[in-house]
Amino acid sequence: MVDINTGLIGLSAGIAIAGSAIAAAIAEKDIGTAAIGAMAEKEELFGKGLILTVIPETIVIFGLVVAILILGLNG
Amino acid sequence: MLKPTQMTKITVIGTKRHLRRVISELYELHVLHIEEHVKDDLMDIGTPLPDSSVLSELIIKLNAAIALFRLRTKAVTVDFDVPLDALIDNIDRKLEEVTSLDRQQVDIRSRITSIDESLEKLRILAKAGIDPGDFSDLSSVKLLVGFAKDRKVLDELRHISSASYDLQPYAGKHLLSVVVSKDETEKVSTLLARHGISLLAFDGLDPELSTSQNQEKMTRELKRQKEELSAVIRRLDTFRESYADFFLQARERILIANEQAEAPLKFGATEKTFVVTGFVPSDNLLRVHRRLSKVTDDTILIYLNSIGEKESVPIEMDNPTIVRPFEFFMKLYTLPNYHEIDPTFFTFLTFPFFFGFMLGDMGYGLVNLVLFLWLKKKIPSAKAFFNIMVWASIMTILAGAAFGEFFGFEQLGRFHIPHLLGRSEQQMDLLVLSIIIGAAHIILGLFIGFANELRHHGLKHAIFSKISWLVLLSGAAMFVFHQNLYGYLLLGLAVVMLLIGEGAMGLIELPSIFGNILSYSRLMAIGLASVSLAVIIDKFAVEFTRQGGLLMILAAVLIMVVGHVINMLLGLIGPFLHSLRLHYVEFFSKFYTGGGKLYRPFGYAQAEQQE
Repeated sequence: MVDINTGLIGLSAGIAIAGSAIAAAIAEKDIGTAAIGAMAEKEELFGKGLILTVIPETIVIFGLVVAILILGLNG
Repeated sequence: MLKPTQMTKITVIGTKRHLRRVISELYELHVLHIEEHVKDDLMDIGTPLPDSSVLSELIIKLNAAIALFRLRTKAVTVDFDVPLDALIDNIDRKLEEVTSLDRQQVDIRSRITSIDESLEKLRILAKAGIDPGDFSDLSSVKLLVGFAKDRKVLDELRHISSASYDLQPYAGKHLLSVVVSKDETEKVSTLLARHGISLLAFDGLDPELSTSQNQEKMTRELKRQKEELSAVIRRLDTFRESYADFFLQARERILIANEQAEAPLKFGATEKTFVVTGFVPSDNLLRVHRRLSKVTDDTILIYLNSIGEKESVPIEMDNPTIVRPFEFFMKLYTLPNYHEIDPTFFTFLTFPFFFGFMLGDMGYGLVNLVLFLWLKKKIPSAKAFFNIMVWASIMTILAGAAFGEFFGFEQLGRFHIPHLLGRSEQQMDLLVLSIIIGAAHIILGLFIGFANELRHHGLKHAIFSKISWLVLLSGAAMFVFHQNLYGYLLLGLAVVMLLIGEGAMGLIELPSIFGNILSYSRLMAIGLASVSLAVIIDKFAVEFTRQGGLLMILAAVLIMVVGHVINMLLGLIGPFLHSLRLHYVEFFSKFYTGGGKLYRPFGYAQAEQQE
């Protein structure tokens, strides 16, 4: 049986990932749509579109870093 | 290496008498990037050489023949020994052979279709027991046959005429046959048409013969036509085999001739002269001058123009062979402009490093290395990309050795793989290392930016717009680690410098540099995500094998294979995109402007196609 504090730490790490992942997904959805639209007009924009699409991924990476830091609290 | 090839802008002026020779000489030289002349008050654009219309027509015909034969376009070697006129005659002759055969094919096919239709009608008649031949020699009555949806039409038919009729079910519909006297034919046909009944035509049939005789005759005819068709197709196939290479080569040659014939459209022209403006790599200038003078008996003028600060100059990146594949990333994003440092070399240094640092596993690196070496052989057209991935895989192996990981295992049996830094335990160290790498990368970017600014806006601007960021970083570092007064002082100084160097916008962007550096924490995060997945896969597999039994061991192997393949795919996409992004967003934003256009010299571009 793990104690309640460990559970709470795990839960908060989960929330950190989940929240940031949802945020990143919403942002990427919009950018991805726009990028595909732009690519239909001009195919050379693939490179820029790809990069713009992964830009919000930073959010979830920060989420992951925070989660790892939180888990680090557990020792 | 850090600069694109130096270009010289030239204007070539000559008399139209030499136009053709100059064009073919420029084409062979393959060094002049032509700037298209825009029509203005002084000069119109040139007119194509007279043979251009013949050539473009020939291209269309050749394309049609190539499409007919379903030939795959491939790189061909062009034979320039045959004179163009002879080649054109030869092409015309062969095209005529092929197209006449193709016309025959189409004709036979349409005959076969019409015979098929007649046979279908005959089947209907045979089933209904009607023989149109019985009626053909009777001059007073006529036979009408068609399909009706329902019986309603009969009432009206009875009402308006005395014709005799018969209705019988056929394939879910009603087959209506009416025998009608000649003078009522029109009336009845109109009625039937109003009810949406289309009449079967008997024109293909021989009225002298009975239905079954007709059927026999048609079937014989069908067989004959089919034999003829397969003979034609066989002949087309032999043509296909013997002419395929010829057509592909001929098209290439004609395309080249046509490109030359249409070149004057990019030139400026007066009544007697033509003017070409363009860029030549400076090393080739003398060669161009010598060759053009020779073919025009020294009657050509070549002006050297100065290149303006804002002028858009075509870019040919100039990197050593080992670095060249990384030019791909510049083409994917935006080419450097002529006046700034070409960052390809720095990308070559850091891209594989970041990729390897994130994936960091000897096993994955080895698999990827083999995979990409194989793909490189298999798909030569994407060689540059695979070369990049080969470098990235090598760095993955090296990083994997540093982290002591092999397919996620940190120990094999009893043997602990030695490591410099264990990623699964020393997470904080890994995070700090990532941030340090990030700061170093950003600072490198700022120095490149400094060099760019120094060249174009002088020392003062370079210091205020780039060194200010360095001051800001050192101030922040001092503030974080020592919390003393100097930190505040440096931060204040940096703010003032930024205000002078980049104005209010600089202040707004002030926090971004810290975001940029923190962004490098992905070096640790993405790596850890991949490690965690690998570890989980291994744990599952080990657990299964512990259970014992053949089935469990098979399941364990399956989990290992599928799991690691998926993880490796994720591990290719993630580190690739994020490593690229660190360059495009965090690194390039410190110095890169881009917007260059690619150098495309006028001339035979076979080598480029094969690339």
